[in-house]
Amino acid sequence: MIKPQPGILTIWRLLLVFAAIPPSFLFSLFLRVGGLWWWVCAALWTVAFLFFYLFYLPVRYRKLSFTLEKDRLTVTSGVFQTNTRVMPLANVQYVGLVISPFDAVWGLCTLLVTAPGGRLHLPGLRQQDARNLAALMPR
Amino acid sequence: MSPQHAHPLTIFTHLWRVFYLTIIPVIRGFMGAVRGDFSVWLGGAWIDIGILLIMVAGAVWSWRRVTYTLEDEGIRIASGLLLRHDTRIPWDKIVTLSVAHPFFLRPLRGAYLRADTLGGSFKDADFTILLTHRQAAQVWERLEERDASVSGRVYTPSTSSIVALALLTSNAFAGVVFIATLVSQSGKLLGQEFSERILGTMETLTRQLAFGIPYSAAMLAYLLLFGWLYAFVQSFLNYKNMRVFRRRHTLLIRGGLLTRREYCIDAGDINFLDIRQSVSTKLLHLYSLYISAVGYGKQKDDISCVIPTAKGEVFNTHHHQLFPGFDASPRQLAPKGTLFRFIGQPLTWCLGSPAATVLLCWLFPGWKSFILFLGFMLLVPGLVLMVVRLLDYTTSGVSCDGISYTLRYSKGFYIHTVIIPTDKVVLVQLRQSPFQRRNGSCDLLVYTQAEGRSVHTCRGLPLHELRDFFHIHSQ
Repeated sequence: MIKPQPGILTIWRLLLVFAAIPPSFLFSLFLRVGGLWWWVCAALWTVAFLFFYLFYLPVRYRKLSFTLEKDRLTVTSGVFQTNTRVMPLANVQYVGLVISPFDAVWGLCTLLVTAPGGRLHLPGLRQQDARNLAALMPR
Repeated sequence: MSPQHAHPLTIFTHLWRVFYLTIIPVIRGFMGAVRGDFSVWLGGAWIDIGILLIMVAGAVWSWRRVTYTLEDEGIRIASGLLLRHDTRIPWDKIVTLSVAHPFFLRPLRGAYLRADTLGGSFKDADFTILLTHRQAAQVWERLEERDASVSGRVYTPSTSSIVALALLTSNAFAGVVFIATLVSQSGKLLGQEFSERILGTMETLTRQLAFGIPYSAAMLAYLLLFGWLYAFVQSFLNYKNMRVFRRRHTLLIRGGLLTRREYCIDAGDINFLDIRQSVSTKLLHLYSLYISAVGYGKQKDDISCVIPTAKGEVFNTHHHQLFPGFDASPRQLAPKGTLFRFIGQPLTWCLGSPAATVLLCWLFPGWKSFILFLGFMLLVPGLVLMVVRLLDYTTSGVSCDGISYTLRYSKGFYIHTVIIPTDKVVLVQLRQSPFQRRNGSCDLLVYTQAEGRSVHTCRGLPLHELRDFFHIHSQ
């Protein structure tokens, strides 16, 4: 079983912080700062942010894992809904690496495994590990 | 074989794309000439005529640049004016080849040839070309040479079978869209007065034939009825004269009354068989068989069904004749104690629809009769869905005979029995919600080989047994 690197959790949290900036800016722009509705929106936004930061993303990281067997690749993921995805390697058409700027800083990447009619995403892999994994898959 | 050109009618398809740009200045030029001096017309319209001639020349040149060549290994298509495309598709990569003879092209001996492979766009065929009948027959013969076996099995559905299929599967909304488009476009072409006259006649007839139903509800009901009638006629015309030939490696399907269609499908590339039943066909013990192959059933008017409605014994006979080795195996895993997973949605619909009706009647008392009628009409599909889901609960499940998986599930208002060769399964997903964790069940999603996404979902199966079934180890 392969677990994603802990750095992916930090990357997700950073993306969450960036995603949280526009709503807070918009609330302050369109609502009177200190007014009732501003406080309501600020509370909602803060609760949502803390929910994702403290619960959703850590649980998502904890439940994410990959297993490469002789003839199949298995990915387990999900927070509320647990998903186990199994792809027979014989149907794999091609494999690709996706490296975002944040991934590049931590030396990580996402491995995309594509079959005709299905696709698997494996985030949080070290780039060399991803390349080794890709090399093990039959073409 | 030397490169061949497409049917000369292709010039008009190239021209038609830009012809509308010139129609307005040309008409304006003529109107100016009618009102004014001939020299005024000459002075103003020659530019428009010049543009028209350039467009015609461009369409002809574009037609000259589109060629196809039948080679030993495959077919080669070259096209493009400034940016040349040269594509070679091997014969053994073509999954589905289809030829359509629309009735309006038959006097001009034109036919559309379409070919599809596993790659390329999932919305359109990989290439479409307008050819003469003789050219299309040549391409067809070359593809048939792949499977030189002389003998084969033939299946010809009866007219009653086709009528039953059209009766039970016609989509009223597709017909309504057609009627609405027809009325609005007739107004644009023949004048607003013409479309208003049509609408006025419809209104008068509806008022006379309302039979006590509120006028707006009666209008809606008749619109759906005529929409369904249009869809029924269209479906019947598509399937009439249908014949299915099975050879060793290929499946040939022909059909259609006004527009004749022919398909040649590589039998080894059929992704799955789909035996479909609605509530009514389930009660009547009728079955319909559909197949999934790349490029087959993609177009709106394609013949997507291989065996239209047939009774049990007759259906099984033809099924085995056309698809030997593609048999449904008995259920091995079934839902246990997960009834609510099946009836939750229709129950919400059946309870929510009357509640919403009562609320809307209270909010809009002036529309009470219409809202009551609409609420009743919306309740009916909810009840039908409830019946479908109850039937699904008793028949749903998964099995495997070593060669293929058999999945039994419901989707929408239909019950499906899907037979999938094991090598066509690209992804298996076990999805468990927090509510399903309590009783150890999950949903099974099986993705099959396709250009786009093709997924089959079985609800409420036991998770632990499914893991053993698919040899998925716990993590």
